[in-house]
Amino acid sequence: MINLRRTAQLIRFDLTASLFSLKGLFFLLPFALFWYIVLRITGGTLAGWLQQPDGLQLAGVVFSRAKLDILFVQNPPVLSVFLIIALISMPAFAVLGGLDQFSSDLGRGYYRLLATRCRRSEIFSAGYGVSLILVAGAISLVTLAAIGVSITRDARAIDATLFYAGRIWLILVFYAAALVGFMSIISVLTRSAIASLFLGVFGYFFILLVAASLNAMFQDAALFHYLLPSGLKPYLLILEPAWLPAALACLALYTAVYTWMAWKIFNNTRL
Amino acid sequence: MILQTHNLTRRYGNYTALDNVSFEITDRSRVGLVGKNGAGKTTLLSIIAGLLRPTSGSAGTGNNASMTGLGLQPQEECFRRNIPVMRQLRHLQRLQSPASADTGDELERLLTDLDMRDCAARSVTELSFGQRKRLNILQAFLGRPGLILLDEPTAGLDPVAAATVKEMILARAKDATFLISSHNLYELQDLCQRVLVLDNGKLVNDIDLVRRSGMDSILRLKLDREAGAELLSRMNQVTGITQVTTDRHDASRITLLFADARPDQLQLAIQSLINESGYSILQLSRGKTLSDDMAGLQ
Repeated sequence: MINLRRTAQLIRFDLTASLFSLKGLFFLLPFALFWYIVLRITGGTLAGWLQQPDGLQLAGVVFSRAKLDILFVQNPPVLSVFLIIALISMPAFAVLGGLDQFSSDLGRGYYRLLATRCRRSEIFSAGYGVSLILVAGAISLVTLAAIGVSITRDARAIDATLFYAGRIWLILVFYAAALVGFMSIISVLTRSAIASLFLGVFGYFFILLVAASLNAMFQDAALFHYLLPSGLKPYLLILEPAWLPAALACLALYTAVYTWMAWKIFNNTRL
Repeated sequence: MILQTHNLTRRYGNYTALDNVSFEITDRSRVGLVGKNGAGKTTLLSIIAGLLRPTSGSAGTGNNASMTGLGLQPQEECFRRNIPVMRQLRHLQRLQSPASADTGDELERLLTDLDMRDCAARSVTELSFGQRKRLNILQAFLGRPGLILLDEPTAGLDPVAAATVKEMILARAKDATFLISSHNLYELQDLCQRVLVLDNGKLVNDIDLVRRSGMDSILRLKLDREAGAELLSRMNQVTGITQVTTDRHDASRITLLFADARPDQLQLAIQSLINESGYSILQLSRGKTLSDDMAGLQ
């Protein structure tokens, strides 16, 4: 059983500490800078250009005609560009936001002060929760900024823009939750933030490489794409309301599997 | 019963750090834990505190400890860097006992007792070794836990701070149980009623210090100078003395073994004999010491 009062106290303390520490700034500064640049370009020219024949032709190299229609004709293009770039960049920011869930505190022995006051499950939940709140909070702010840009540039009905943005926000937060879950595994295996960063990047690309190799070896088994949640990207882009629950359920399943694996390791680790 | 371990075993590959350790600790007792480096003391405390899982066996705290909590002073300071000490202590206090955190009296008192008031606003990186050590001890007492585990509590502390820590332990002994790991046998003898001796991961001895100190079979003396052969011979002739030995390195230290039902009279007779022979007694103690029990392990 998890004591909610203690878990909330752990989250409150760690969140405040994270926001004003290198740990938080290491994620927040690159994230803010990246999205400031991206939204300026998107708001300026990119989204408008993608609605022109030249832009659609170039985007057609990557997306099917039907997908292009959904992304840039049926829905506000600024938000669609935001969704595409967010899905592509999310693994990098999830690594930065989730790398120090446990590693520094495990290395320093800080959990020795907590272990006699809280259950391991509370410490684990708070560690994961703080990283997810940090990443989800940053996603929320950037989504709000994207909505602002979309309203001024795309000239669509506000309620349709907000409805589309709401679906994007849900997908991004669930996607981030799965990736932060992946980083939980990395973070409980290492005893420093730097080691967690390297192992996170290396681990992510190693799994991508393994999945690509296995797919090449076994032509009919595209299944290996789904070792990481990034395998779901093609489906996450089609934000039809009817598809949304299935997409969210898949991402929740990734989150559950990753966090369960991380918890199993954490529960048997010497604190 | 506040703590009970049953066949506690912890292995690291082929190395056995703890080997079938079983014992019980009653409520409001002070128990010492001694043994050479690598004997398994820290491993045992880590398992009891929940920092480490045993390979087999179990360690459980009784209802009393579950209700009042557990305090642990790890050997090394492990606070977070760059966060003021006071904020971290308040956080720990809130986790353990929200009611006491709100009043703040307990924390203020502990800071005063351990002479840590000036350190409260600083981060641990700005504290000396001794201050960090005291901070580590302070947090173990926070929230008035029913069972307090101390790992080398006075190692590295100056004599004044060490005396303060001992006083704190004795003051809390009325309503808390202590398990204290230490290499300082004299300290354990002062603080504890019972000592568990670990050797190579095994519990090799369980010494009741209260009963031992009450055994009047040994008298130890430290004279103002080396004892001469004549004095030793006269001591040997006293009825009831079965053995007289001097320390190998210091002939002014004498140990006498008794076999008499009236130890007080025998002690007085020995003291008179020494005074008559022109010696002065600098130190005198009766009863078996913890060092005697540990001699086989040194």
